[in-house]
Amino acid sequence: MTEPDRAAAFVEDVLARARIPSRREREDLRRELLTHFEDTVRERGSVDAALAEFGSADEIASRFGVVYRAQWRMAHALRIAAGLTVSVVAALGIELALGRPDALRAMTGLACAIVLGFALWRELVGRRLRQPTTMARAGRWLAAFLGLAAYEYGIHHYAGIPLGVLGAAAISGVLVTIAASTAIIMAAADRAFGTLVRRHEV
Amino acid sequence: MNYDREFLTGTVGVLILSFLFERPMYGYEMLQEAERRSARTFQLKEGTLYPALRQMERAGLIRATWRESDAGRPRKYYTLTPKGRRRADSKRRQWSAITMAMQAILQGGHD
Repeated sequence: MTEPDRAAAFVEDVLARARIPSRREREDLRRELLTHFEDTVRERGSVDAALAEFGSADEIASRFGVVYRAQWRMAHALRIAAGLTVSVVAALGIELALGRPDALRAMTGLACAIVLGFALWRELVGRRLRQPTTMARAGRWLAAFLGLAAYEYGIHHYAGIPLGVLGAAAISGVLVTIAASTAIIMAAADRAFGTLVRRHEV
Repeated sequence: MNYDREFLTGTVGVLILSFLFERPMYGYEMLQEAERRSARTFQLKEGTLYPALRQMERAGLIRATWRESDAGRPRKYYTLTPKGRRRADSKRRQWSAITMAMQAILQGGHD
């Protein structure tokens, strides 16, 4: 890894942990910190010296976290609310399309479970594993798809219900699609909320 | 010299407001100024400065704009808002009064 890459990786690490709700503010901070690193490296002569001066990414991120705590909590609540709403609407749509009103409760419950599971995953594990690359994101979605397919196959097999590999893959595909659309909606709500808050700032 | 961190708590905001009271500055410039003016007594840390700048920006005390520095590179310059200017003035006066009082107390102890 080159010296500029190490500085960039450090900045990404800080940003990933800092819980800054607005994408625009994250971009702005990224630009400012990278500019700062360029100045420090120019003066000190090495990226190691610059990194040593900066201190621990965790500590810095937690200080930024304090600054954005209230905004992040509101944005997080908004994301979950938006995800729940859309998932329930999607579940109702599927109900109507399939003509199975008796399954309404189960579908709605499933949708809520997916959203809450997604939020919990994001909170407990996702932030630690978050990587900025597209390949890493695709890898996580693929892992989720395969994991769910295996789970569906296993649980149906255990219950003595014939499902087959294709059936398990189809169910997993539907669940991953719901989760992915929830993630997209959450990200959109995140951006909208960040813009709204910023617009009302002094 | 190693300082008790409690002594320095609350000084970061005063330092930033004081620097910006004089002229617009960017983050790295503030770190250098703090080090230079205090003869390296104050070594303001990046991990303290940038969150503090964000906090003050959100509180409406300072405003930031990207523009080219004298060296021709884009930098994020911070300036005081009218609210920040009033706060800076008040903090500087408070700080002067406190340091004068502390000096009087410390000197009195040696008489």
